[in-house]
Amino acid sequence: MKLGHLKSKMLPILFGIALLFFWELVVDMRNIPRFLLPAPSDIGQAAFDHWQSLLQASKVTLIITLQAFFWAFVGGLSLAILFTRAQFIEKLLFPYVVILQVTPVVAIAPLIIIWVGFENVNTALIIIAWIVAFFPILTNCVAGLRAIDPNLRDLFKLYGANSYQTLIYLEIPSALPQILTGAKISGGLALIGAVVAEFVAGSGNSTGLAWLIIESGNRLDIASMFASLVLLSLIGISIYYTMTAIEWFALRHWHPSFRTAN
Amino acid sequence: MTRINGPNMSEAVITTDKLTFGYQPSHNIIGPISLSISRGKLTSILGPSGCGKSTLLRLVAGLETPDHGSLSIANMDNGRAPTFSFVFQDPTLLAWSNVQDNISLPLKLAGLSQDEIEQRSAAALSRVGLHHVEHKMPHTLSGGMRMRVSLARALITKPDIILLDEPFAALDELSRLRLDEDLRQLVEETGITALFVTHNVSESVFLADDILVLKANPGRIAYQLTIADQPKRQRTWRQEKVFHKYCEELTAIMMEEPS
Repeated sequence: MKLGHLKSKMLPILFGIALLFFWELVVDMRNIPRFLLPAPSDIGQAAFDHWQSLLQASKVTLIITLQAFFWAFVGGLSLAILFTRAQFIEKLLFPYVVILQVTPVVAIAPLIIIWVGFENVNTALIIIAWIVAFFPILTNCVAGLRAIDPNLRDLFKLYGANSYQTLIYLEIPSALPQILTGAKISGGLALIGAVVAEFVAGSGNSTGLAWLIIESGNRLDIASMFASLVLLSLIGISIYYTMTAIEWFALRHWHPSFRTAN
Repeated sequence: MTRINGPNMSEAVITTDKLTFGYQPSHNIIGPISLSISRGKLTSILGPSGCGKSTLLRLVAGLETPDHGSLSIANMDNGRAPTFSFVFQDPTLLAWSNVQDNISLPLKLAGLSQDEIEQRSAAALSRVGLHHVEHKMPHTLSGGMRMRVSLARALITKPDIILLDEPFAALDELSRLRLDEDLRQLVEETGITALFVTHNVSESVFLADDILVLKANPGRIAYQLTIADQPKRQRTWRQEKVFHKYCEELTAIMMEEPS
């Protein structure tokens, strides 16, 4: 069975709508308690009733996510450039980067919050989310910078290119596909990191969507909990598609993955 | 190990004396090799794969440093050191830049003004017959066209010496013959000194004024041949009896068992 391009895009949306109707129907007909499973209409109602606090909480989580992502990107790319320029720095630091990566961030989070201080809880949250988002940027950037054609490196050497010119005209453009792949992964991880951080910080200290989820759970207001979840998903989806759009814009003219087949 | 830039003593522009080189200390890839490359001529280094001919070219370009012996580069008539360009076996283009930006890369790295870059890249494009594709991306071009772009990039700095490392080996026969003819014409017109590495005997005989045959383990000169016939090479040179005589002579040398 062959579907048109538009039809194949519409298919998952139609499936989702059908699922929502089924869900609504089941909750209504079987009289499932709302504190176990609210119907989609209840969730919509909850979102409508609490839109101000939901919007405020989304803003808090989004800002933490974006700040963590920004510093992960800047730090990961800079460290990758440093690693490829000076091997001894890589030898010196890489084991510690791995230790930071493999240690479960939930386990370090309380320590970070204590060190940074409860009065600066937002800074602590950014640091925790940053730790989660940092590693994929670093490894992808290093992989990209390592994969540069040695002949092109020789060419730049022969024409007397300085370190800055080699970076701007050769290394960054050549490694851009991997840099953007790393950014795409990190964008999603920064959000996960922000949620984990808010959970650890606990109520009263953080005011983001994750805190709203805990707080709604405590009140058995499952409809509001679902509304927060939906917003978290929407933030994640927006980050993913923004990164995909940037990738398309930056690579469409030359990269094999964007060449149209003819 | 020395690399000397010195005054112009003779017609030789590149001279090596007992030059040796190896990637591992105990194992020489090159040498000892003593040779001299004449100014304004096209010299071909002919040899089988693995005889060190590409390594020799990298040594001349300064991409590798000799272990022992000397490599000297004579100054030009006006007393300055000659400038080099290098053409790799692959076109080695920036995949993310269009033809014009690829060609003007050496000028950009040299810090020239945008006006000057545009002027000179336009001239370089028409010289290799590429003015109609200046805004195309490398992946949309054929292999022969990409090699022309690479050649144009090497010529845009107006180098005194051009080093070519089997540049046309991966091309189809027809593109290779055409590019050989264009390259020969270029050397005759500009008086540039060219060092051309190849494993192809007939390409070598078509192009070169001087041929150095290299043998492997370690790379050394097994035979030298000067072709004074037809200083202005035409396509018909390939049909001459003497052309085939040279080809047979060189093939026989290359097929000899190592003694």
